[in-house]
Amino acid sequence: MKKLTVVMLAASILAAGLASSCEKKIKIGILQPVEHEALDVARKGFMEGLAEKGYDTSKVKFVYRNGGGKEADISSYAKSLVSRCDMSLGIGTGASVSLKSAATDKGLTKPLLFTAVTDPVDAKLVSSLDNGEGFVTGSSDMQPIADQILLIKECIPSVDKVGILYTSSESNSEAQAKVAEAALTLSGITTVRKTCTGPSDVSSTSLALASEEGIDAIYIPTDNNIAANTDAVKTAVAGKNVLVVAGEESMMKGCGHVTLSVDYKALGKVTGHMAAEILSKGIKAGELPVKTMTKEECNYVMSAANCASSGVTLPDEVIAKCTNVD
Amino acid sequence: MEVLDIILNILSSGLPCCLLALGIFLTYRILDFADLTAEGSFLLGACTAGVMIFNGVNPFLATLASIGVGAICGTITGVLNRYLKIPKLLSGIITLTASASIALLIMGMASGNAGLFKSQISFNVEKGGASQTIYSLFTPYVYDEAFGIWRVLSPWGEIIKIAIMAAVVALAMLAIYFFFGTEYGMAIRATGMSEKMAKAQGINTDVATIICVAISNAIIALAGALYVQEAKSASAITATGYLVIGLASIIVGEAVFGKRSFKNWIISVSLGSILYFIIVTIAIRLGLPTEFKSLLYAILITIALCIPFIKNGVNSIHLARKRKSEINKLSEKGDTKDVGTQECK
Repeated sequence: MKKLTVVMLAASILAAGLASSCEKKIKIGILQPVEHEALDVARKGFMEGLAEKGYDTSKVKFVYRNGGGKEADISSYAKSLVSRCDMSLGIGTGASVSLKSAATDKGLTKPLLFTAVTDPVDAKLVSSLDNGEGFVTGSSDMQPIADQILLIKECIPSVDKVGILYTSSESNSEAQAKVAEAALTLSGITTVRKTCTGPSDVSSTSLALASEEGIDAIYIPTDNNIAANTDAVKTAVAGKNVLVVAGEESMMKGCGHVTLSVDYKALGKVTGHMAAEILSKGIKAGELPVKTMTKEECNYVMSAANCASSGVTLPDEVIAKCTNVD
Repeated sequence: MEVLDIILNILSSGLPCCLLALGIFLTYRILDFADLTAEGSFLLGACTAGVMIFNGVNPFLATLASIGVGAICGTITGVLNRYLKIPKLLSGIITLTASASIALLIMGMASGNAGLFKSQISFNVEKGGASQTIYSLFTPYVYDEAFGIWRVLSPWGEIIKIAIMAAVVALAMLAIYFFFGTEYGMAIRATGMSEKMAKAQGINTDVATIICVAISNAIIALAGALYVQEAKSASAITATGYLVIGLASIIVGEAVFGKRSFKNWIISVSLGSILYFIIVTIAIRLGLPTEFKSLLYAILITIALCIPFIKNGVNSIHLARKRKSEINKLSEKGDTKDVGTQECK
């Protein structure tokens, strides 16, 4: 017990020392669940968005925490961020939900923003997209799925069977897959849904899907696991003459041929502008509606190299409106 | 105020991990069974309690249900190992792998879900709302005029939450202490020490192993239930990284607080997880980039594993000094008997 007392004492002295170092800048906590290109870009966009509205690093201090994919860390960072910072930003569903939960438990009502959350209503962050809720608002990265499906039809007018590939444990991907499935079924296209469980079976699942009888195209929603293993998909579809439409730009660059993508930088910037509005007007976060990206704010992108390697030719009118990202 | 906040944060993250560490301790230390089911039963415990609370079930019932689910996981691992003769490590891996799918299926039972599976659920806990947790039933609320909502009275909400967690952990520790003091508990410990010997004493070691693994996983699932009610969300990746935290807690706890008796051992293991969170929280607050955290884990575990070795070293230096001074005393007296030893030195 003596040892425990010493440890606790040392801890509290250290904590007291840490607590006394106060700053006059506005503190904004940023919680990101894992290293991920799209999420990194969104974070930088957020900082730029704030800077554009006059809240640059001379006025704002960013406290950045990365959970490294471990839920235990994400939730313990969330707790310290909400009490230390004047405002916090959650990137992705898990981080945003943790921040909200921590703030509610502490009875705090400091503004809380989220970005890159696909379905904020399902995640119980807000009760509708028309408005924020209480101290919570943010932006959703719901992809323009209906328009992505239209893009498939534009590329292959005679399309009648489309495969959907995602990871079963990812809620964002699942939500998008459901929307895509509904959109495809509505236009009379048969769908085949295949899911992988982790990094190890991305290759076999995508090969199985690409070899499916009479398949014309594969739709992959945004998916962290597949985003990290795009090469496996690329190898699986090589030479199969199957069109791959991926959920967003960086995944498309890795394994797809063409897509209409949410620009994560722009998404982050929009969220930054929202943060600046809350800070400058002193309004409640909940007064701002949840921002979703419209078709016009998204970019048509394609990868000529991937098209060549898998033997897919895109119609000229599609190539004309796309930016080649190779 | 901020100090209080930091301490509350550490305790609210650390206390569910005490249970996790205790559960892992039962298999890893008492039974000598490297059980990888842990992350699976944590996940299923969290999902079960989470979904039931999402659907508006009484939180105490939800917690009990998740204990049951954990026990089932443990039983499966035990049966795979004892009756189907699958190696211990593999039986754990099999159950762990299966649990990933089962978790999706359990979360699919959230009301309002259209499909069979679901990979993330979260619920809002409000005053008078349908979803309540074992903490929120006792949480004091105040009315916030500006937002028009009832919000948790700070810091009492957190303190009560931690008190409830601590009570659950204390109950589990007492239950473990008394159960493993009974005749059957002793039989299980004997099985862990030497299976052949235990068999010779007429103990059914197969049943003893299965029961111990089941208890261990029931406690781990309880940790999951405590965690999910605190986090108010569960997802397919909820349990990732907890096995390492549990093992690290056991090792750090044993190294710092010792394992002189069974009682001391249980307390050390539980305090280990709090100590672990203290160290990690302080390192991050001192400005360690979060990207270095895995490295910090590794260094911490290495240091903890080295402590017995360092202790031995320090002890032998003490012993040598003691001997030397005794010899000096003797030689001052002119006792010739020990002069030989002195010369040897």
